[in-house]
Amino acid sequence: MNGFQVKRKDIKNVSIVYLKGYLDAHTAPDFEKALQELVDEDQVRIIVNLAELNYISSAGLGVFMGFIEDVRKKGGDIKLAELTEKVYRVFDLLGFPVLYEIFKKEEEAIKKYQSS
Amino acid sequence: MDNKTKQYQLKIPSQTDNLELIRNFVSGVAKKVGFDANDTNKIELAIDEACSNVIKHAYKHDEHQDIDIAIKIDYQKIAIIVTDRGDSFRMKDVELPDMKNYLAELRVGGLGIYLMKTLMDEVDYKTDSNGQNKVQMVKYFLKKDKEKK
Repeated sequence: MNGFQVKRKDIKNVSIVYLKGYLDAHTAPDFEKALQELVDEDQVRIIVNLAELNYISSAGLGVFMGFIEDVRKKGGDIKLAELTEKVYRVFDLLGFPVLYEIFKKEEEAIKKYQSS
Repeated sequence: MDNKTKQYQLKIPSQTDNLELIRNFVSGVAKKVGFDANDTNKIELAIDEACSNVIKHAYKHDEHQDIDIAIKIDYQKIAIIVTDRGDSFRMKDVELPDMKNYLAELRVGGLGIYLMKTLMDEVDYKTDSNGQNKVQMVKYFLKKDKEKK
């Protein structure tokens, strides 16, 4: 099945990860691999664009939690952008907006990195 | 409305690539019997969490095992029963995280049961004398006490 895609785009020293489809216990390892590559390359100014993600379970949320400490220790961050209402509700249910900066538009997240 | 109970069943191999099918089956039934999009999404996530737990913890990723999903609908509620024959656990021993501390300490994992209990009106777990583990999750069509606050 091809229900999930991860793509990456780098704009200067900011990396944007685009998730498409559904992020569950089956597809979470693909997302994990993408974040691990970024951390290994010290590309830690990360934006995850969720415009085309239509589903997330705790396995997907666990990937965000699994990397945030390493990324911040290296001076970076994981910012989220363009969440659909359905996906935002799951993040919100668990209080994730306290821990992750969420932006309506990807450009706003890029600007935040460029101004810091 | 009458008092008849409708039943739907699915037996499916314990594999993570079947989670999508499981979600589609359960959310399809929930939608068909009248839950709105928001409640259907909650039920969809709860069944995913229940089955992900079975695949990972009860069957430890043994793909030759089966998960049985039964849905019972009556005039009041939807009840979803997930049955496995793997390792059992004691739900009362599972500590539910305090989300404030959880996030502050950057913990990972252990959110499945918390989500199931938050998303559904009732969650019950038992192991019967045949060694079958059953998680039953219920959602009522009409919210009663919860939304009177």
